[in-house]
Amino acid sequence: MNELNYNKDLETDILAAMRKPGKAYWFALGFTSSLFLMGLILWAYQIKTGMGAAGKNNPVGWAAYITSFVFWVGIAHSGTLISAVLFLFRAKFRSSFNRSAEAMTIFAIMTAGLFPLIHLGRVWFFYWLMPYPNQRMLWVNFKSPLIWDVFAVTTYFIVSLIFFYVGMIPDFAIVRRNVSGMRKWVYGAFSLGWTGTAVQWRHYAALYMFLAAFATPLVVSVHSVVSWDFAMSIVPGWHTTIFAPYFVAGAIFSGTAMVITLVVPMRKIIRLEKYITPGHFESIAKILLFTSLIVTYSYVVELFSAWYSGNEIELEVFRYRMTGDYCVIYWFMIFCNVLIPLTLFVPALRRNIKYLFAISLLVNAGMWCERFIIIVTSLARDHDPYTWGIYKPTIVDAGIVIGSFGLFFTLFLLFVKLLPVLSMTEKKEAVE
Amino acid sequence: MSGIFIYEDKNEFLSKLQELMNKGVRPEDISVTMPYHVEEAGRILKSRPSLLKYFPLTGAVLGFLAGFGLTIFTALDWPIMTGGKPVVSMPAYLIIAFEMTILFGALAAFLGFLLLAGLPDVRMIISLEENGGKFTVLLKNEK
Repeated sequence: MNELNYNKDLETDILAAMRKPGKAYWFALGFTSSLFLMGLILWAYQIKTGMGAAGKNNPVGWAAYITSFVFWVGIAHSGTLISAVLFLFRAKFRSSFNRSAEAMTIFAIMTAGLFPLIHLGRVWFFYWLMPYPNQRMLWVNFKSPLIWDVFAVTTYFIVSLIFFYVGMIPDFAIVRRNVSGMRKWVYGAFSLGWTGTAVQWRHYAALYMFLAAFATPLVVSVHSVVSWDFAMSIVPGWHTTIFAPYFVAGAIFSGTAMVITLVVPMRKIIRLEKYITPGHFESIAKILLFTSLIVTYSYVVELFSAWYSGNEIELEVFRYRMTGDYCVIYWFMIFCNVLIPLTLFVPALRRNIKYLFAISLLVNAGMWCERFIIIVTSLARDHDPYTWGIYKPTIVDAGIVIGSFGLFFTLFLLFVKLLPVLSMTEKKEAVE
Repeated sequence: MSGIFIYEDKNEFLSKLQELMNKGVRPEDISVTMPYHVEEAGRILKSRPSLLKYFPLTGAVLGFLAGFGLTIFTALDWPIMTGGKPVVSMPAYLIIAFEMTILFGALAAFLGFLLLAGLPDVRMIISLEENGGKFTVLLKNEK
């Protein structure tokens, strides 16, 4: 009987979350969309004025935009990790986080995808990145990691979107049953006429398994490819073989932190405490701790490799990171990504949701700084001291980066009100 | 025997299915709907494994070939040596082939699912036969 009550309450609570936007919600939506609008205005200003409006220039040609691209692609990773990998390992706590994480993946890739376009300058020529027959008889250079990136990120977006949508089909049918008027038609159309017959469920289970199996190596490949944007070059501090696993671990680390950042307030505001428990948070905190240790190990190996190589240029880059113009950012990164997560060895702190939320904010900040340090310091101290220089952001690139957070959180807020935030069918299955 | 049986409890639903099968009702004469996936129902009804696996396999193989096909064709269409690498540089092209393997495999799996599950089912988009998220057993043929 308890199981039946749980199932009924679950539907009622999730559907209630989709109905009543309160003042706090409208305020939050207004705030985040204003940030996004500010970013759009600044982007328009940059297009009109030229790339000089952004602070990047020789020798630091990749700066806040590419930092943000790598950061947001990284954020996107945990969505698939939580959904696909934990599904393959049959980890039941995934059902508390998977829908939010998958939504986060989609929105983070959309946000990430904007940055190469913003960075291009003449954004209207973005299609030059695609292979298509043209008058000049030229094709894209498939030996370039930047083109691998186009294929990897596009594939990741499409597969993640399918995975996200497929997971929601049975839930759309539940929403369809509980709403009326135009909304019934809309959710009915998205449900594809799902009725939950044995045949549908049999093929659905097979599909979900295949999508999870495809998505898992895809997660690893995408951030590996992003890391090769750097590692395939000969820039000191970039040209290293550990970059692929280092970036993948960092991506999962930052993505897990962002899931916590999003789910803690969502759980409170739409009253999902019954379904997302401290035990679930403890499980996800363990992933955060584990990936933090991998990231720490990568930092150590990176330094060791530079020292062991005996290469003066390589050593100079790492000396510069720790003691140069950006050293405050470097040590803040170490504080956020290495030291603070170690406190999660204490079980009571792993179950303390406010503490986890605070840590997740620090890790998000720390991981943005990590990408910034990797990109900017290496370019600022390249091989030839004659070309050394520093990067200082202007209000335009800083504003566009802040605007990207506005876009991401706006999309997430819309998701919270328009789509079921928990997988109802999976929760019912898990409670058995 | 005919009719529709509606259950809120999963175990009662499974017991009914088992009872029908024990009475010799053919699985193709039983139609069930479930609010969530219950594997035991498939076992009781002796459902065959899903044929979906052939779709992602076909898609993945096609994607792999298309990935190498696209990269090799474009390299040979206007041969330019870049980065000191051969015009046809297989290690670099493997990455494109890998991504397209995943992409085509996933798309084929999704299309295969729609085909096998009979979706989209336009008649049921606004279903008049809602069962309120309960387990239902419908016997199709009277005997």
